[in-house]
Amino acid sequence: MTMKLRHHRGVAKDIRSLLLGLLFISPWIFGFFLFLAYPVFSNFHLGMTEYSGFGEPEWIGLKNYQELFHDSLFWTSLCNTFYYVILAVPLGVVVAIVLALAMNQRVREVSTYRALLYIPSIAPTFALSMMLIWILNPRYGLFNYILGFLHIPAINWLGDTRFSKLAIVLVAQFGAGQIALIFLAALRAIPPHLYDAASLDGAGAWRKFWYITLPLLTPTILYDIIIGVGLGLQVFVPAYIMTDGGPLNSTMFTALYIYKNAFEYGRVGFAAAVSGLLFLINATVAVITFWSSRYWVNYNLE
Amino acid sequence: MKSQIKTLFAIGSFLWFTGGAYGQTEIKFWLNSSLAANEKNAYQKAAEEFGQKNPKFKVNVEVVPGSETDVAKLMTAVRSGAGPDVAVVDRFTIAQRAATGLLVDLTPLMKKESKDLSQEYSEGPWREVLYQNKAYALPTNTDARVLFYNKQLLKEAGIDLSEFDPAKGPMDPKRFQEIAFKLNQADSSGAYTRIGFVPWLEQGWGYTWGYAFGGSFFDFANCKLTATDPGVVKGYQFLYDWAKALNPRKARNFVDTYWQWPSVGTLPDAQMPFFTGRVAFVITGNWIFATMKEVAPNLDYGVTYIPAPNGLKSTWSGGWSVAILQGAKNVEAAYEFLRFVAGEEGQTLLVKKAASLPTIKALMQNKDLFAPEYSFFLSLLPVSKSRPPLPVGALYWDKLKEAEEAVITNSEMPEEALKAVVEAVQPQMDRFCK
Repeated sequence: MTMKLRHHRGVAKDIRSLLLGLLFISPWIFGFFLFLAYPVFSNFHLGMTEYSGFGEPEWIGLKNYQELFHDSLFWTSLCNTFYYVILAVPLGVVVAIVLALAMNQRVREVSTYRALLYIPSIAPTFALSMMLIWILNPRYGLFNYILGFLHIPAINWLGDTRFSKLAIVLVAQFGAGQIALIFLAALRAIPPHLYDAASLDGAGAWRKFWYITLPLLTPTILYDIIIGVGLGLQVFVPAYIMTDGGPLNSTMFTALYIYKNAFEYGRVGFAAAVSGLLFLINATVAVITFWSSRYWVNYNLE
Repeated sequence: MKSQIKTLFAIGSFLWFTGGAYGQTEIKFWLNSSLAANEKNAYQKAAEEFGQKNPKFKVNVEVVPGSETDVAKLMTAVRSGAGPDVAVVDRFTIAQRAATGLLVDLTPLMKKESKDLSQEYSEGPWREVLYQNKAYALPTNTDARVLFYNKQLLKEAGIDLSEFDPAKGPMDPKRFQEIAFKLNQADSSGAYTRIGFVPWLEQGWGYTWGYAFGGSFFDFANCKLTATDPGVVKGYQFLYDWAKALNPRKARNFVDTYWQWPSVGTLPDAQMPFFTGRVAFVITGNWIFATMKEVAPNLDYGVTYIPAPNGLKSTWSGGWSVAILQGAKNVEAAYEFLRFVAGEEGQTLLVKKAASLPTIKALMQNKDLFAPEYSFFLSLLPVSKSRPPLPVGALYWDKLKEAEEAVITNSEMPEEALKAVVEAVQPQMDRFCK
């Protein structure tokens, strides 16, 4: 009897603490449903309608998706987006690690270096893109000027289909400081005794990096890839500012295509269908990345 | 904390009541960021003058991000109930915005007036503000595109200027090409440092050349896009051939260097290639008088017809309009303001400050209003065409631009590029064809 009562009391207590817990995280739950779950759900609903943004959405079933599959510009935009992600994300990891290593040097002026390396990441992408139009100018741009020293002929970065996507990949690297800070934190978390032991065994800087630093950074790399792919699939601002999708649609990314349909052509329903598909692609890629992580991410610090 | 909230509340209600005490109705008026600085000033001034004349109204002018075809901010603001009462909208997109449901139908308000507004405004601009025979905006200004030439550069190249006398009519494109190519200059690497004429610079759109070669872009009787019309194809062929003669890649590098297309917004007015002498000819409109006065006051220039075969005098006009947005707080007040901005007072300001042409017939007769350089533009208005006002206007524009790009890079032949335009846009148009 007493046992049972205690048990009951236990359950009541559990429920109480569950409710309390839920109450404490309620702002998050509220935010999740209001700003994430609901928009995603209503986006899928809108994707099955003909809707201009005003008036009543008209239900048309899967017609938008049908149109989508026959829309060559959509496929172009998807290829462009993947081209961007496949180049920009790995490059971003490398640049961020290099920056983090540079920020982690034991020199007196380290805080100055950290600030200098981080500053470009503070610049809003919008402003950065505006600036880069000038830096990438085919004749007078700073970038071609530097390449000139290496005897590389002037490149029309934003006006040549062969280079336009590459230019946008390069632009993205200006934001690497953000993620470099996380890498820096991860670097600082690596126990120094591992390096000491390796030094005793006669390991050089490269071996230390390859066998200690890099494996212990893999959880952070995973994080970077997940975030990077998620953001990369939604790349928008540089193309919107610098190229408007051109030349010849070579920088027409899916997000820009969504934007144009929704806000320039008044096809909100169709745009919702495209973003629904992009969401599914994004989720799939994230799941695959997570699944693959068991083969290459090292969680054992011991 | 509590007392702070009380204070805020007190201040808030004070402001509310005092606003009410003065009996001022607020009109929120949005300008988009792609308007020229002079145009923004003119609209701003119009709002001020309206407020002075009608103390019961207070017009708050705000400049918001947006362009001729990009109304993302406007749409979302209106949708969420935070939109303006009145906004400046590119006239050729009125049909599309009206079809979207963004704009308020002005017809019931117009019916209350003693005069028939459709008779006050000139025909072309008026047609552009209609959608299904109802007016959704009032036209504020118009323009015309012509060929500008730099007299000094032409003289230096030993070219006889009399050939460009408008009295001789439009120059034949072939003859024009002979002359223009004499002005090309390149550096030791072969990169152009000056090109006589780049037909697709500034206002040399597909519409410009399609019309110059006698083409038409829409068949209203059958509700069909006619981008593959022989005239339009010839216009695009002209662009194709010109690009080929220049070398498409070199021409593109030149344009991207000196004009930074398509991010033209980033280029200061003073660096426009025609002002810096990087090009000797350019197709642009009367509005550059306003900028020229500021950044290139000593430029020795002339104007003439756009080159065209068989002496066809062609040009097209665009312009802005003011519209009332869905969810406007006070439609009557907004309409009164609309009538002022698009009325004689507002249009006079636009003519004086932004070198616009008026859309009110009576104003065009007012000779005192115009400096001598306007007369050629005014004389063109009777033959001027406009972009077909379609509910898919922005899409059509973008696709024609895409075809133009394909043609000037010589990556597609005009016919196939234009066929792709029709294939992409006609299905969207069909939804509105009844």
